Amino acid sequence: MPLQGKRILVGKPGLDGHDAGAKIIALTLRDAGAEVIYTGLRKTPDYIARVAVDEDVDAVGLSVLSGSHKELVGLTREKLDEFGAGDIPIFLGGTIPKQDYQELESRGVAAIFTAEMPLDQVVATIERILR
Amino acid sequence: MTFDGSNRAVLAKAVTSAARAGVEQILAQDLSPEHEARRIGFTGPPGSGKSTLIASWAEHRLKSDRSVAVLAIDPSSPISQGAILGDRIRMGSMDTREKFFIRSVASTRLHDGLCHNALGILSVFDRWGFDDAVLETVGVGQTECNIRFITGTVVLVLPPNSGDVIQAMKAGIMEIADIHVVNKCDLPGSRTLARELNSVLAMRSGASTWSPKVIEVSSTAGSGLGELDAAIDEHYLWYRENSDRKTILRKRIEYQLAETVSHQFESLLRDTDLDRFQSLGAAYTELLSGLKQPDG
Ligand SMILES: Nc1nc2c(ncn2[C@@H]2O[C@H](COP(=O)(O)OP(=O)(O)OP(=O)(O)O)[C@@H](O)[C@H]2O)c(=O)[nH]1
Ligand SMILES: [Mg+2]
Repeated sequence: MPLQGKRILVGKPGLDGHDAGAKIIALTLRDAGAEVIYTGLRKTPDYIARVAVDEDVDAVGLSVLSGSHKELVGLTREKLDEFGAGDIPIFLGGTIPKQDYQELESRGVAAIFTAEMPLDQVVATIERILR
Repeated sequence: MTFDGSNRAVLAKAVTSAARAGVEQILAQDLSPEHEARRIGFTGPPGSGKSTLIASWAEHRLKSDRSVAVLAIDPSSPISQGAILGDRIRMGSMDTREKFFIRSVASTRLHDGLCHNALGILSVFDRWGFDDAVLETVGVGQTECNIRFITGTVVLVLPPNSGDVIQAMKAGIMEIADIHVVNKCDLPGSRTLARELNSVLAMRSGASTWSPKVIEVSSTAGSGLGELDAAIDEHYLWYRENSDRKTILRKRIEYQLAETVSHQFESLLRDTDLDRFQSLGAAYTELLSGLKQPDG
């Protein structure tokens, strides 16, 4: 399995209440062999980063549909760095406009997934980054 | 090291190391450390409310200024080996408290409700000075009794309306539990279940002077938690006075050795091309000889 032994946190920061996408990703990662910790809806970046540290995960995936992805990614990155987990990569999924990609990448997002992206491509990308 | 809320990242790495320990690391572990956290195991059928109950109970513990670490085990998929580690989400109200720490792990290849090197992970909690170390098993059926050997107090969490379940568990996990929780007692059926449990337990014969307790609890309604907390303390005192340290250690050693051998055997088995053997006997002999070399 491509993600065997990897631990991945799937987090839903911010206020939007739709986690169908996050849940699909969680199940996809599990089926690829990963151990997945899902935080549930409406968590703060501070909370997500703390859980990521306690669980010693290999990656954090954030799902954001509310439009405040730049802010939420930036805050999560800051908190992870603050808690000594600067090496944990962040993935981002949701409704993310193309023009934001570059800025997000400069804020430390390792990969961005759109809703249209085939799930095996999501898995392959994560596998490559975590290798 | 003592856990003080600010060194979580270091503790987290130590737990990961124990959770991934190879044979040599496992064999070097101290099974009888100077400070030992009170080890409390919560077990019971899937969905009986173990995680929610641990969170509500831990809240009580934290109020008496105790520190609590939880090892929460969820099942791995037999197909992908992956897992959704869902216990933590039920403890969401608690999990960033200063004196509280949760680690979620997958059961991987184990079928006893536990995880790889559970004893080693618990001893990390000991070394870090936790007052209470809680282990939540995978949702279990009748026979997963190994939790008895690695924790001091076993709490069996049952949902109401599980009269049929106790018939099935009567011989098995009910025999090793110290405290029986009739959980979700805000729902109908709990009275009847408590009565049935008491009558089953009254017929239990055994050498132990501990008489197992039945407590009705609801995390949702916040009832019975004080009683559960008191029962856990009472059992701990009994355990400390009445159990023989040597026997406990002996059981831990047996468990650890059996677990280590089967872990190593299974990984050998995975890496061995069985087709090249003429007989089962030849395969068995070669696999056993492979066991002699710890894989590090
Ligand atoms: N009515 C009621 N529901 C409860 C109570 N405690 C937990 N639940 C519900 O029972 C369900 C299962 O709770 P969990 O705490 O996840 O149960 P669990 O035993 O840890 O489950 P597994 O780890 O999957 O075996 C959830 O939907 C809870 O909200 C309670 O006291 N009363
Ligand atoms: Mg649970």
